[in-house]
Amino acid sequence: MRKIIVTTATLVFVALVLIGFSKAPAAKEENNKGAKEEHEKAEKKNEGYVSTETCQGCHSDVYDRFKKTAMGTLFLRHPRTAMEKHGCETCHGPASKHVSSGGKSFEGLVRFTKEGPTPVSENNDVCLRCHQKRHRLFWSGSVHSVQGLACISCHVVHTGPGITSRYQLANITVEDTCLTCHKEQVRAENKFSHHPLREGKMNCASCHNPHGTTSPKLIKAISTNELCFNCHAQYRGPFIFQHPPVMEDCFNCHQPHGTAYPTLLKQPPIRLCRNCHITFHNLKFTIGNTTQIRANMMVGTGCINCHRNIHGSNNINGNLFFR
Amino acid sequence: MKGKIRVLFLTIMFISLSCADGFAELEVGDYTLGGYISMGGGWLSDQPRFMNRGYLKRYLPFPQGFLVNMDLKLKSKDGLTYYRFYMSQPGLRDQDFLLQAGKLGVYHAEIEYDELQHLYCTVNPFFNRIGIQVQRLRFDGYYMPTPNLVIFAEDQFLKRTGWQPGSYVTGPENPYNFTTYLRPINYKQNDVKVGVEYDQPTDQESVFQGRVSYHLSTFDNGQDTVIGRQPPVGSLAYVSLPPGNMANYITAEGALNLKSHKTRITGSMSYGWLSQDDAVYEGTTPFAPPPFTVPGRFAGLAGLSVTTFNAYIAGITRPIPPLALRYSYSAYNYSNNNTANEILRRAFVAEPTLLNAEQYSYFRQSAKFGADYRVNKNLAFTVGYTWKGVSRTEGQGSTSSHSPQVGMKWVPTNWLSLLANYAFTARTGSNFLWSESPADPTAVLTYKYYAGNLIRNNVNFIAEVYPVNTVTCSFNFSFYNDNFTDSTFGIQNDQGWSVGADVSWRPHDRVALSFGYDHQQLQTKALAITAPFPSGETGVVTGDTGTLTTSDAYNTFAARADIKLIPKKLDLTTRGSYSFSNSNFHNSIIPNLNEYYADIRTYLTYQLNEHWACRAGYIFQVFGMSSDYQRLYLQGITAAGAPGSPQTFNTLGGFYTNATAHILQGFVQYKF
Repeated sequence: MRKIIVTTATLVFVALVLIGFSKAPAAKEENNKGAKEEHEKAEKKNEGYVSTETCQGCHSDVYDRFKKTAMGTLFLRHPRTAMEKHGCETCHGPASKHVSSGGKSFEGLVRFTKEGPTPVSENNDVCLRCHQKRHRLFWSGSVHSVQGLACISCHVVHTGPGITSRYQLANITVEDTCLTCHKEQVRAENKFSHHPLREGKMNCASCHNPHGTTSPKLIKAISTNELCFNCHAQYRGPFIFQHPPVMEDCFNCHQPHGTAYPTLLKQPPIRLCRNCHITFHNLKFTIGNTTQIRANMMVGTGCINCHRNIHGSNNINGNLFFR
Repeated sequence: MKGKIRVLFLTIMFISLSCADGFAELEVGDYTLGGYISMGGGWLSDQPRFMNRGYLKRYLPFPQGFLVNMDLKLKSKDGLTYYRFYMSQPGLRDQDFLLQAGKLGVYHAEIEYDELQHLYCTVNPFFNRIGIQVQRLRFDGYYMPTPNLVIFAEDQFLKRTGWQPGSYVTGPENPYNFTTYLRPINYKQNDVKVGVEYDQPTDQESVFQGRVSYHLSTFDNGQDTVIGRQPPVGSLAYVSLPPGNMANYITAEGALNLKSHKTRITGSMSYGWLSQDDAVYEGTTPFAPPPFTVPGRFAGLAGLSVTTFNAYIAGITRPIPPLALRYSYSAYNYSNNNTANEILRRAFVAEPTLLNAEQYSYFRQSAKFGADYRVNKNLAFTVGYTWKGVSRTEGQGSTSSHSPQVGMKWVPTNWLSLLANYAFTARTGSNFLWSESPADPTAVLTYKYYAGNLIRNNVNFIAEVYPVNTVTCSFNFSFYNDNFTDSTFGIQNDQGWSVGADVSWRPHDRVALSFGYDHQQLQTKALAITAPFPSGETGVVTGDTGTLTTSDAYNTFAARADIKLIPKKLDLTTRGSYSFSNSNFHNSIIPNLNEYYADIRTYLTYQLNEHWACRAGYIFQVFGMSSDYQRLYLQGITAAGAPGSPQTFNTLGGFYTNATAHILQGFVQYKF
């Protein structure tokens, strides 16, 4: 298996090198043609714009960091549109008044700082001009947008410790970024039973899309069950014998962020099952002349010791999920 | 094979490092090479040894032995084209390989192979390692043939192999004994998603965006027969496996921007078809199963399927600048048309009412309205209302909930930011008490609390404080209370609250400190009373009288320090977390469950020159669980409350012993 993986990886690597040296002439020509028309339009609207070199004169450290990012590479070296040719002013707006005042006036500028006068929604509109596609399609009206979260609350563009991290996160890792507001959920990774987040094999974005989704709790699926089936398809069924709370929502029994009980159960089985199952086995039994508690209901997986296929059974004799 | 991989990488490293001093930023034709290679090892000392390492190695092996990490980035001189190769712990059970390639604005592709283990138990005397190995191969990429079009594809292949603990009941009624076995696992799951998205060019005012995608998911349980093995002699147990299944989804999504009042409408429709046609086994008579040690006979193929349909539409309108209006509607339909299935009818021939209770369809809807008003830059209010409804077929009842919400965001000063919101929910349900015999309503078997009446209160509060430039603080508080009203059975109340704080302090350019604490308290209450079973059998768990209360308290401390002891020469990084929990069952027979876990890692990095660095590290891990609960888990209890006899069968899964580990590490790193 490992030989196949190494060989495949090598072949893919070579293929990608060859693709990388190829060109996409159709796209480039279309970009050039479109860019010329855009440039003519932009020239008419060029009032108030200075050049990126002017910005660099006073903000050289910011410029040096920005040019290493993907945005910086495109805006400063390979602008594809008249708007991108403005470089720093693509996002910050025309800076002529800022420059002529020696940096004292911020009139006409979009400032992305907490003390800046620009409201969060207008700051976000600047980012959304380009970044409203793919995973951010449902940002407007999403819970983070409604709560007034700014793009720069989680991401950095040219200043911050996370500038070299993937997705340029403000706090380097996904967990640290979410931790600011969601301490209870992020810290749940330290509980006894947890998904492998603290081990680095998953992160919050494995299940959630913080930019907005069509589902509650920003989950990346049309329902909570279908989210879980992305990795746990063995419970998808449909089964001959179904367990209704499983059919409707995995989270009727499980707490995916972390719990004190095995298999992410919200309570130990002997208590959890009794939330619904209100008739109960006689929990005492007799061996010889001794009456004992059915210890098997206290130990191990409790009720699941016998009702093993609790998520559903595909056996004609599986009516009580014994098999 | 592991050894060969290590030798190969070692050779590559020696070649690359042998003339390292001659390399600045390494130029390779029209590309520059960056990144690092790190090579070293770890030495482990743990107590108790071997068998007791289960929890500390639950997902990852100890980082000991020969260790290699590499992250190489090749970038074209014009900055547009890039390649990246990342490798971590090759040859170990948590190895990770990632290959990326792309051209900015044209395409991106990545392929990753990684592994993860899931250990259930390491203390069984016959099998000292019970667990599964998860292997994942993932592909993700997109291509933009034109600025308006994105073609994307994802694939995730998951393979799980190993052994999983299982058990089956022995004795039909009394004494409900059970016996354990090991189930061989050989699961394969594949998820493929492909799609195309249309967006207007970024320099044009966006009017329309559209996306169409297809998702295929398959699951194969990898076995034709259904066998578990009972340790230690390996006798067989015939049990049912999760059936192989398949799901297909077609999704169309889009967005429309209207100039009128800056309105944006988004929508989504998805149709899914889930099917399962795996082999079904049976005993000689339905509802009279054979012993588990006897294989059943093949009864046919299941031939079951369900369809799902999801529709969503939402909009946001800004009629005047400080006001935004939000509205959305979503519908999810789960359609089960299996009641006429021949296999199903045979399975339910003795209890037809059970068929209706389990094979039903449901339709879930949600409508939301909200308004956000920005008084000024520092103050904003939000109000909203949500209606949710679920209707179920086959007489399984329906629910309807109404939930008003209010919220506020206030920034009174430039060093303080406050966010608060409150939501109230009232849910009513019908037919949530289920009786097997409609003619005898007192013979209630289940209380479906998730479909029953409910009153919920939910409060959230977040504060961010920046008292001085070098200090950042954040505080969270949340509270919820679910009151399950109008039922004299089952769960009555579920409530919880949590409070957390984080402080980051940068007293000096060379020192960054952070500290965090989180406390959470949960409590559920259910009635210990049982409803009379038709056969007249009643009973409660010994010690459970009146109300069953389960209380959980969790505490987590986390700290981090990054100190540049000597600028550009010597760095110290340390981070750690300590969490402990207490679960109280309010039952004199069932002991409290106390667990604790700590992980502290400290690294000292010495920079020899611009490229070379040495790093020494120390990792401390400890796990503990209260011994009374562990004893209960293994031995059970007698009627008098005394520990029962030791049962080795229970050490097949889900059981971990206390352990402590100390790991020393040393690395040499070369950075391009």
